[in-house]
Amino acid sequence: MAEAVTKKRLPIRRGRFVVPEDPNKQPYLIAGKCKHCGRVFCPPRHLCLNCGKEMMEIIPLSGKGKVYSYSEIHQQLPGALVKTPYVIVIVSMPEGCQISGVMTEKFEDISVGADIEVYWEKMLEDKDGNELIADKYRLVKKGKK
Amino acid sequence: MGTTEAWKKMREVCVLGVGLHKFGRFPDESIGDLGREAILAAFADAGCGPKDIQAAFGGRVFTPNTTAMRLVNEVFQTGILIDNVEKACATSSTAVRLATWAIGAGLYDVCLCVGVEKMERGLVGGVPAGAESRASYGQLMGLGIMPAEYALRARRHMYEYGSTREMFAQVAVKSHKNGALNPYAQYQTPVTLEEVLNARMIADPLTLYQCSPSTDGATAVVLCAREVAHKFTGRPITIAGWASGTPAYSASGVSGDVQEGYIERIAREAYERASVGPSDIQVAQVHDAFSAGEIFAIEDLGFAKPGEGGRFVWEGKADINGKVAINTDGGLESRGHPQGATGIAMLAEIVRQLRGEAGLRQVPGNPKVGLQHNVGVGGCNIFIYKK
Ligand SMILES: [Zn+2]
Repeated sequence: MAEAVTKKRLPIRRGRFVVPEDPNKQPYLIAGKCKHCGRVFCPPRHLCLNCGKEMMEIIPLSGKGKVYSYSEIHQQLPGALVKTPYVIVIVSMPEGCQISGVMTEKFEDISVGADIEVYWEKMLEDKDGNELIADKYRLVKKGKK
Repeated sequence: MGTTEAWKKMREVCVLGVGLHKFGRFPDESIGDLGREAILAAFADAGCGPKDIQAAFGGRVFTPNTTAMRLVNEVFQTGILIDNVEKACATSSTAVRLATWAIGAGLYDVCLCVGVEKMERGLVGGVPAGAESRASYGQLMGLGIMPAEYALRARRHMYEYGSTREMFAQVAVKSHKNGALNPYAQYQTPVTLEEVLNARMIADPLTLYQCSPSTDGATAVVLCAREVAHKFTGRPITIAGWASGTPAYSASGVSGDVQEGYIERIAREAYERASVGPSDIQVAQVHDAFSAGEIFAIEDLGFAKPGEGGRFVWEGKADINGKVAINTDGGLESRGHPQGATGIAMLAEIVRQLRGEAGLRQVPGNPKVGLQHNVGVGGCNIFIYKK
């Protein structure tokens, strides 16, 4: 019977993206959008900072955006799963918010304004063998839609 | 903001005396040892003693619990109010602001403020051993690191304004040159532009010399109402204006924009209260936790137009004999950055400069107005001092 237990993909931390139960569906980043004034918050929050209303709806983000800024990190943060050197990127999302994440490209190839997209990577396995995944970012290759 | 009437009614407050424990690494000294030396030095400089102190404020950033009481009781125990303060890198300047309010409002005539820190080596903000299950997303993914915050803004600055790596590096060259003239500084060795650029990369474009070190140290200051200053032998310097605040949510809606305009707003309030403008400032201590921070501050405080802070430093305008002498004691990068003690170290340097006591690093021309800009994750404090 033990073999029947299927291993799941789970978010490494909750609140930033959603992993559908259906393994054929892609995870997606989320934001909070105020139903009253339309302002978008990433990560989602309870109250709107613009109008103060408690009318936040969770919306999926397309996962495609542009590089706002980036830096290559060479000093290891104790306890981090990502090892140096790696690139931190701030992504401007077309939905009207920014998100920072880890980018996996050669530093020389990155520039402010470049088109980038999210992809998903297994970071850890929990004690039940579930895959704990996180969002990472890469350049959108030319000619690929 | 507070009501204008209340601000106008405040009594004039001045700095009576300052004291520092040398900045560096002192594994054999406790925070009590560090704080005691700073408090005794401030008393000697102010010409006052324990019986004169009516209230005290102070703190530490790492394991801060009741630090202020512990430090004060190292020297005296008279039963006064002692408030512990924590505001990340702006901790001890926050203590000073609370004392300034209390004295300005007429509640006390003489107060003591103290800041201290003992720090671990390496990056701040990592996951403590054994706490992996409680690590945040930012910690697990290596995002929550301070040099990156400045590096990301620096890269954006390069993109928007054409600032160069050399300009950011020049901040560190200047800081270390000034630090070499400061016997209390952690690093007292000058470095060349090539050495800064070729040093180990921390967060591109910032190299090792462009990052403030982890530091042990302590600082203390005695503040008093101007009307009682004559009772003491200290040489008073007036706190002419001050302002404090936190980032406001920006209607433009992107998180990267939240920072913009926040320091400018607080600076404008401080300038108004002190009845001066950026062109009146002759010496300034600004928060260069990372070299790029000095360039952002130069622009935010109005010493240069947006985008021109890098050029300002590159052209020597922030040198001791420049247009505005900035971080004359070596700044956070060279003097050191014991987080809870840094705010009062900035104050102490302005006081020494305005008194003409800064020795080899004295700003020429008898400076009369100085500014302090101390920024923590929890907000910003700006003070303007007048002789
Ligand atoms: Zn709203």
